[in-house]
Amino acid sequence: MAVPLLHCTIEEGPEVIVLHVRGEVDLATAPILRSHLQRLVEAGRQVIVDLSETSYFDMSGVRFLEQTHQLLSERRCLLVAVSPSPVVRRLFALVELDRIMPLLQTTEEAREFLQRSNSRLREPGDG
Amino acid sequence: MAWQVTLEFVTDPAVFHVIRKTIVAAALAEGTSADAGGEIEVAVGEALSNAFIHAYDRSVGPLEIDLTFDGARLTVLVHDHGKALTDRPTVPSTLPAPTGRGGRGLFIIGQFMDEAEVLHPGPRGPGTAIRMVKRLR
Repeated sequence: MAVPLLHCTIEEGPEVIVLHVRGEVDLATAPILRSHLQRLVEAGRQVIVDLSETSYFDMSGVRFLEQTHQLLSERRCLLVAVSPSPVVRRLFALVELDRIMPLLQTTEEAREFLQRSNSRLREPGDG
Repeated sequence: MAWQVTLEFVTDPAVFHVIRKTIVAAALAEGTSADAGGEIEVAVGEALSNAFIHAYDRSVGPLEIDLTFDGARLTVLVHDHGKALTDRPTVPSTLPAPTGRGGRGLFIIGQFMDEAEVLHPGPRGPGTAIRMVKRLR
């Protein structure tokens, strides 16, 4: 039996959704990532993309993260990623994805970051 | 010891991971670090994506990869037999706009490898070749 190269799972919370990306994101598997990202946008919550078990990631996946950031920001939701490998981290820096999608060490750190950002967004007078 | 290997296959994205892993395995066998191997893997992946998307308009076509190790540096030459990648194929040295024309993939290849160039026509005739070099030790 073929082993799937990419396995995405969604962990839903009341305010934050975590997308676990396990395996390889390339031209063949990027549509799997895209369909999961689309579900996150529809949910309209803050999103943490867990890359701790992502063994490969290339430009095929970068453009879907960019689109997701754009769609989530229209709903005033943030997109952050946690625990990318050194190579993925360098890729995201080179294409400036880390400017729109903050990279954090752990999901706990990401939850705290989102909580702080959320309370700032909800300050009175912010619109 | 110096060596040379040629891989022949078709641009089916479902086998791209096998091609990438084969090339990374060769680089790791010659003593490169895991991170450098990871950079080679992404550079090769972008070259394979370019061949599928741009040279063959998202269809399957023949591809050859020449791997050459000179005792210190690995040269990866990816040849397709499709249409030209761009009108003036060059590897951008700064981040291009995301136009979907493959410019950002070539930029990444240039950043992750020590040398990179686009040859059109390629050394094997019509089509495009991407030549990239990484020092392994």
